Parts: sequence; structure tokens; C-alpha cells
Amino acid sequence: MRRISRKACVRIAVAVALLGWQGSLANAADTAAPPAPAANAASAANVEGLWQGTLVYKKAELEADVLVELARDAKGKWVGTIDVPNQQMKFHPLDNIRIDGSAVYFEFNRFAQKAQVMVETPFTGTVAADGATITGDFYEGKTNHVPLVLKRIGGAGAERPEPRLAEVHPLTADGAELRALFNHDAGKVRLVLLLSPT
Amino acid sequence: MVQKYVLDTIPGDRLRVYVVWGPMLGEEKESDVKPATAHLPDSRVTHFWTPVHTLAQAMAAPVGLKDEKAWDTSQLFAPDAHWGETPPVPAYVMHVGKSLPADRRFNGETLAQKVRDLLAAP
Repeated sequence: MRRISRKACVRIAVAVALLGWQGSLANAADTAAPPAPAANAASAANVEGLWQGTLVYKKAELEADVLVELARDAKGKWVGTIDVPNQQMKFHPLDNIRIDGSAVYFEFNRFAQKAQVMVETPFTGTVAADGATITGDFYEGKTNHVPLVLKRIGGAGAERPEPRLAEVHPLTADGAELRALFNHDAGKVRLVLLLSPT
Repeated sequence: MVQKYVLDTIPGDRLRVYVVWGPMLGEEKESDVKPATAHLPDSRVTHFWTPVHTLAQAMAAPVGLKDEKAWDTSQLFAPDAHWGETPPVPAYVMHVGKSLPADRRFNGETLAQKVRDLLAAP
């Protein structure tokens, strides 16, 4: 049976430290289903890895990319993290991970600062026989669910895609630099977005 | 979603995107911007940061906003648009949560089609 890599162990430990999160891994270990029986070992091994997908709340209007990493620790217990880049969330620990054959279950639980409430989002899915995808749904509340297809982009502990960062130009209050560039680019179709970086 | 629906689907050098990152929510900092640029990594995009609302106020009137700033709007301009003393009126605007028509609520697919329309115009 494959065990979690040293790199993944370090990553998860870092995630726990960064998030000031203590106990959920232990809780997950306490509540997680026992290791999958031998007959399901192949499917369970397929679930270990680095997975990428997009939560489509409303197509082309409200979507969020996610990166999920699932692995087993030295004791064989399932551990995992989720990244949600557009919420600046990285290595957020997943709770109550359970793998039963091809069935995948985990919870994405976090405290919503604005609403001052705990948001609990369970995911249920199925890993494909070839181990390339996990197809399922995130449940928000008892009735709302958001489909999610996770595609494998690497093994557990694999290097994550490096974000491509761009240069940022400071603007004077009246936006003179933008106006100059806008007019310099006359003859092109131009799109101005006014956004919050958080 | 502009990267996914607009820039990833519309190649070519006749499109430019300018992102003005600013204090829309009130507590944003300049250091927040660099990571945010990862959402729009296309080489046709130029990223700006402003710590004040002046530009968002100036760009509100041309899209029909009276008592709101233009944060969370996407303003699309035709090739012949010129920015003089005040920002020009966009050919098309989309928004999130503004007092503008609901059918102008941000939609990446619709925005991409409007870009294609402008690119195809004679």
C-alpha cells in the first residue's frame, strides 16, 4: 500500500501550522473510516494525488478554481488540503476524509468571517476507474449542490502549478497612466476592469 | 473569468485589458495585488493599483452610475474610443451588484461575444 510522501507530509504540516489549525487532522483520523479493505485497495490508491477543478456556481458568472490534494499519512489515515486561489486560500485542511472503494467523501469546513458562521461543505464523488478524474458534488446546505469534476494533475506531493504573476503599475489619483496607455492603444478593442484584489 | 472566457478564447493583438485594482471593499492593500494578477496572466493585460477611489468615481458617470463608484464593473471600449478630460462612454458595460440593468450582470460568455463583435466591426 502506498504511503504519503515525505514532501506531502511536510506540506500538510506546514498547512496546519500556517492556518493555526490544531486538532482537525486528529479528529479526521478519529472519525475517518478504517482503511479500505484489500479488495478496494486499487481504487483507494487512485484517489491519492493532486487534483484540479472548477466549482461552477453559475456558468460564466460565478466560478472558483480549486486544487485538492489527498494522501495517506504514515499511519494510513487520509489527509488532505484544498486551495481556492480566488479566496487567497491555500493548504486549507479537509475534514473527515473517507474513501470507500471508488467513493470519495471529504468536508471543506471553514469559518466565514463576515457572516461569523461556520460553513460546512461536504463533497461526495466517485473516482474513475482509470484514476484520472473524481466526479461529484459539493453540498452547501441541505439542498444546494455544486458539481465538481476534479482532474488529476499529479501525485500526492507533486509540485503545484506556479502562478504566473504580473508587474503592477501604481496609478496616480487621476489615473493619468491608464489614460495614456488607453489612448496609446487606440485602434484596439480595450477592456477596463475595476476590481478588488481580495 | 475574463481570462477563461475572453482572453483564452480570443487570440490576437487587437485586444487589450487594463485591470485597476483598488480599495473596493475598503481594506485592500497594494501587497494584495501581486497575487491577484495570477488570475489574469495574459500578456495583453496591464495591471494597475490605486489606493484611492478617484478613478472609480470618474468612471462611474459614463456608465450611468450616480451614487456608486465603478468598482466591480467591466467596461468595454471600441477601437475609436478616446479618453479626453473624462473617461469615454464604453460600448458595453457589465457589473456585479450595481444599480445597473440585471441583464448587464457580469457574464464571461456574453462579454467575450461583445469583444468578438467589436473586433469584427468594420
